[in-house]
Amino acid sequence: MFGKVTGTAAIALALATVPAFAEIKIGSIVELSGPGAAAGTNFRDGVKMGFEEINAAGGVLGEPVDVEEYDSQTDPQVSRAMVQKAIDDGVYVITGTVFSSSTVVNMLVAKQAGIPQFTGSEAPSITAMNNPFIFRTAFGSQKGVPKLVRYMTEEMGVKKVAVVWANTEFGKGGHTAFVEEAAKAGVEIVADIPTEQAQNDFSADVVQLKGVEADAVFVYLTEEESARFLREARKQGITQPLVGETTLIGNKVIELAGEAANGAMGHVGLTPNADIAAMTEMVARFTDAYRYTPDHNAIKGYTAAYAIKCVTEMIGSADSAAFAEKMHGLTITAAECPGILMDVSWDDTGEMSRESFFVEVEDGKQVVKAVLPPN
Amino acid sequence: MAELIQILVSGLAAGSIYALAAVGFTLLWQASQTINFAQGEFVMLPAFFVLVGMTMLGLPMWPAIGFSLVLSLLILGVAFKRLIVEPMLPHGTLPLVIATIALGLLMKESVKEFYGATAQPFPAIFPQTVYNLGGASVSVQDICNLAVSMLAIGSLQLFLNRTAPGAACRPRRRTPRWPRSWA
Repeated sequence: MFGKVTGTAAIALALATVPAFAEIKIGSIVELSGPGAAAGTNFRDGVKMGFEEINAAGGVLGEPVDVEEYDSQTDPQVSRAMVQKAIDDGVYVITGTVFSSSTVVNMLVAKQAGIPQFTGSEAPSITAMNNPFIFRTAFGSQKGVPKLVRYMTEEMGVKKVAVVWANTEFGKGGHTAFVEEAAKAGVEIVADIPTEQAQNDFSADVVQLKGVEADAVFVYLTEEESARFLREARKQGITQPLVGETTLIGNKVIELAGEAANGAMGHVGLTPNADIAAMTEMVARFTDAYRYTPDHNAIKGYTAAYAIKCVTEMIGSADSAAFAEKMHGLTITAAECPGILMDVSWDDTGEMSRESFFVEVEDGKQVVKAVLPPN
Repeated sequence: MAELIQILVSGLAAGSIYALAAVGFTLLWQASQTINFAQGEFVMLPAFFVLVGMTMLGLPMWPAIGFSLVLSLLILGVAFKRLIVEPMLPHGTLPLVIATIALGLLMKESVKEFYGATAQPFPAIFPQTVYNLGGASVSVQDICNLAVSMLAIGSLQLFLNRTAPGAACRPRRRTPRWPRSWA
């Protein structure tokens, strides 16, 4: 009797240790709380929807994809611990983080483990640290800002600019890129106003703007701070155009700033209001599924999911090292990989190039004013 | 000069909100020797109750504010006292302080879990008109923030000093009693 029981137990144990059918695991490490929650939640939902669609259509290489979520709490050290945890859990590729201050810290962990990472961050330093495993889902500010400055000088005739920026990795990157480009274009910087992450009150900063003669104000803050800034600028009657990048005029910012967002302009890598059929359809499906309009971060996450699918299918196996190698110098067109929405290229540093848009907020919606070619 | 007026007015308006939170903290300390580390969450929760009233129960703004006030009284007043303060206070101040740290975490994570972690737009309670006062932009919101805060703090002072229930909230001993052997 005892022999039968132990025998059965031994067989059961042996069967239990046979590895389950190998799944492709993705680590979705984003800001789900803290000041970055707006951006991180959008990115997470974009990745989630992308992989839900991919799994419904048969998965990657016929295998279902398992997306594990981790909350970085917008804290760089927590994000680093979450990346380590994801690697210990056996992920194939990582998606996230969005906030540059977190990415510069956590990407070193992914680099050491040889795990490719699709980040939503835009600080120039991220692709300047010799990391062969980091890939962008939106081009860095050192690529975006030159396009913006060209538009401001050539189309808007701007000669004097006031700069309001966030004193974070992201803000410093944009600020440096802007100051350099402005100098090259002969644009004078009449005011330089740094602000803090999670800053609540912008009255003192807007007061400084009122005292200077500027043709436009370049605003480089993250989403919640942008909304507070726009409200204060409207309240104090700032009439100069407020121009920024994606973080100034995203949908969450429009929701939080309300009427104060109207008239704000920005250069965006991605917009739900672009006149691209695939984009419009994706936005409609997203809004249906998640009950809110996606912003550029959601589109970044979605395109990352499809980039992972298409590249894995190109290399024929879920091999992290081969994946990273394939990505360098790769161009994926929307024709060959429809989920990627727009043609995109990556260079050897993981920096990406893609068409972009100049938009203005009118009646609570982003309206595309110009399409700018990839650089 | 316009800049000074602007910063003064905006500072007073924002500061009056923080003053209300500070008064709440002090009152709790005075009345029950509680150092409430969850005070920030105590300020956050009623605002979310208003949003719940408006978005989930479909109430108009003022009934939602009434709903939030009643719920806050029950949860942050009655439930807090019965479930946290009364069991922990006999063990001393420190266990109660630690309990409020845990309470703060619980409240924050509960809101994140059951409502959402992202910032939410809040409806405007006061008209959004902006006046020009010597070159500074003074909004009706700023003035009303200040007025409501001063009214709340003033009323609280009257309650504590001029009414019997208020007097009961004040500490009985103002000076520490030294052991006789020290005299």
